[in-house]
Amino acid sequence: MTWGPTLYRMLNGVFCVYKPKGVHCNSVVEHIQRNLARDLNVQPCYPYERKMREINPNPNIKMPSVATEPKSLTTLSDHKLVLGERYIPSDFRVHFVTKLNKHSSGVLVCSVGSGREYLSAIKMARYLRVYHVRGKFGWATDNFSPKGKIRNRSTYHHIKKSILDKVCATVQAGHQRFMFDYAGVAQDSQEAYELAAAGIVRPEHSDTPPVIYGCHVIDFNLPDFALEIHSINETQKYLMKLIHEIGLELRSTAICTQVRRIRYGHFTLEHALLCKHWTAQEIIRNIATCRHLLTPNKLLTDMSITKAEGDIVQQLTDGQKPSLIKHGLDKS
Amino acid sequence: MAAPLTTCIRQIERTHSPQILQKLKHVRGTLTWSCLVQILRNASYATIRLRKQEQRKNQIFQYAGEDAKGADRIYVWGNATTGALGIKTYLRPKRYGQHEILTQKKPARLRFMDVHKFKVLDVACGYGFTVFAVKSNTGHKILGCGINSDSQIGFHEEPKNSGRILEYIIQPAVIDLPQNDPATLRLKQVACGRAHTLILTEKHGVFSLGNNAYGQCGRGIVEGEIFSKKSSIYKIPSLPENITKVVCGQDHSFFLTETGEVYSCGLGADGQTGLGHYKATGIPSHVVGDIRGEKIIDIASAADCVLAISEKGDLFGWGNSEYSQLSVVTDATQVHTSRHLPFEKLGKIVKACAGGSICGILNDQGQVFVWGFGILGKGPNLEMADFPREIPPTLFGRNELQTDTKVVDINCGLSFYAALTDKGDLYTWGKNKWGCLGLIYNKDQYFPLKVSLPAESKMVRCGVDHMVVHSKSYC
Repeated sequence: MTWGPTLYRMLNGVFCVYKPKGVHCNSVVEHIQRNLARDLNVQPCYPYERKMREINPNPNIKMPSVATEPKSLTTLSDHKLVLGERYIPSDFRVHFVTKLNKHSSGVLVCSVGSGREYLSAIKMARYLRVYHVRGKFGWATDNFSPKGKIRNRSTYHHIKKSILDKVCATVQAGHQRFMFDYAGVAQDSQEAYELAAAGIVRPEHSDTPPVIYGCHVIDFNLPDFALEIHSINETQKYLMKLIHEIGLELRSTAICTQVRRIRYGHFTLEHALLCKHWTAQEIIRNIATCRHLLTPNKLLTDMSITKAEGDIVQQLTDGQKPSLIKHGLDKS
Repeated sequence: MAAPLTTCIRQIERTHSPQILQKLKHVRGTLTWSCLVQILRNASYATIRLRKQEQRKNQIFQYAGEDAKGADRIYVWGNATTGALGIKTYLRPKRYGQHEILTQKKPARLRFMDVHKFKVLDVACGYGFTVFAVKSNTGHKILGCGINSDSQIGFHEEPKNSGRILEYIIQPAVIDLPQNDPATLRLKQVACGRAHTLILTEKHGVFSLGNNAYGQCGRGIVEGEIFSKKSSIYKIPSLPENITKVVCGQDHSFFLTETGEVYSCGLGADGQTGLGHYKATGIPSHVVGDIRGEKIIDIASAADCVLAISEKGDLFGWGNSEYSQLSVVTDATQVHTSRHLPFEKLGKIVKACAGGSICGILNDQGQVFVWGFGILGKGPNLEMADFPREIPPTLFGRNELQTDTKVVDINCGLSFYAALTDKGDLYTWGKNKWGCLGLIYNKDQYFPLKVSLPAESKMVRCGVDHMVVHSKSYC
């Protein structure tokens, strides 16, 4: 048994969870807050609970009885049953950065307690995010998701993987322009040329329109397909719309069936806690793991993506996608 | 009142849908006539809505054909005042009150070819006019649009025999070639200069039309000849049979044979004909100098500087060198004999382009090198280069996320470049007069930027202030 306030003090930092599909980010936060309060309250929290002695239960009494009793409890008004639980959910200040909408799942970076200071730094770092987006040809709905009202149905037999590859390459090349537009330099300056020549550049701040850096087909099995999209400043709605527009470009229609964020800068699925692990113990352990990802050289990103996120780029150049199918999460 | 109402309800129960019955159940006790009418009306709306939704679910649209393939598409942009874009409605708006479009800054689709079911074989852009070689159901045809001041796109009288001969043509019009049997005509290539056009056919040699003030049409120079409103098309006689390519500079022409020999005629004031003198000549003759004995595979000239490439990948140049285009071999500003340009570390050169003051080459690795004077594509700081400088491949889309992109073709106008990649992306840079870069804005572009095209580009041709792209839709 650990002293409750000690645990509470340890709950300061950044951690990373896997948001399931179908819940809002705020519900995730509430869930974590409830779990933390529950876990800390079972630990000794009031001073009198620190020194307990074992008592021998009286065998003559048939009623249920406790095995321990406090060594020193002067007045009963200090007792837990009088004062109530030591921690309530709102004692844990849990926040998240770059929300995921209700229909998408994936890595969500959260902070608890004083870890919030890091969140603004993470936001300012404009990390590259990697998504696995699944789509389905042949349908069109009003909100691009399978649950919306059906607006149209169309044929898709003519679509081939090579054509989808071409369209993805066009999307990627088209967004290169935006990279320089949003980098915050005049288009006709030498600086703009040097930035452009350096390769991939980050947008100036986190309020620019979305920029897509990479778009590849990772799965193609008509009518379903899956894309891996690398982007900054996107929203999930934007990705769903992108699937719809790719469908139109291929003379068909498409809906987006799944959006998963598999990577958020240095935070990957390996760091993310599944719903069943949202306990105080696991979160404290995760805070310790994520501390390595909050070093200044990782948080202070340069304009150029390649410098700060070399490992992502390395994986891509080696030919292996940062795919996380082995975790068995993509089927969910 | 009560008896008919209940009978009515019973009848409804027998005939109508379960939704209405459920509604009726709730209000059974307090039902009045008006209430019943309202319920039935709402219910009928609901049924209509549902029926429509069901219809929508069951109806499957087929937007693509059974064996859908990419379709050819022509995109044009740049200066529209001359009619060179070939889109009629830009200068003659359809509706009263609509404004004319004089500058098209972004790619516009030329639907004329789709409407008339023409398959485009080749395109050439001149100074304010465009010539298309197309294949139709009835055989090969030449179409032209734009400025026709020197009859460079043929003789067009409208209406017939009225004496009203068109000097501007705003929509592609057929140029009739002097042929006994037009159905057997097979076109290979077209080329356009400042005010003349060359047409290369498979068996019938080279035809020329337009301005011949300096002999660029391959016939003798006639002093004081007037070229406007002329109907004559000339077949150049003194050429060998095996011509594979024709190239037009500003006021001169080149003819490339299968064996790699180069013939030229036209204005030679800057030595651009490469005939060893500075005179104008109307008879195509062999280019002299270092290219003798080399097998030339490509020639590039948009103005008065000329670059040629041999099969081995060597570069040759002659003509104007006022902007250090040829300064590697000579300090003279005019070179009338072809010279080998011994640039180092360029690899095997496969493609070249030469504009007014700019030059560019492409090697087999997909690297692009530029030199000359003006906007070269390496930022505003580099205005002048007397040896080839490489443009970083990252600017053509080769980066860590896409490592295999490669430039496969380059082309240039007088003061701007265009490059095509193997992914079918088109990049443009240079002077952006009349929006000829297709980048939506009017400012000059100092490094290659991708043109937004909803198709895969296959071929690009640059005029002096407009551009034409032949592309293929995805499916």
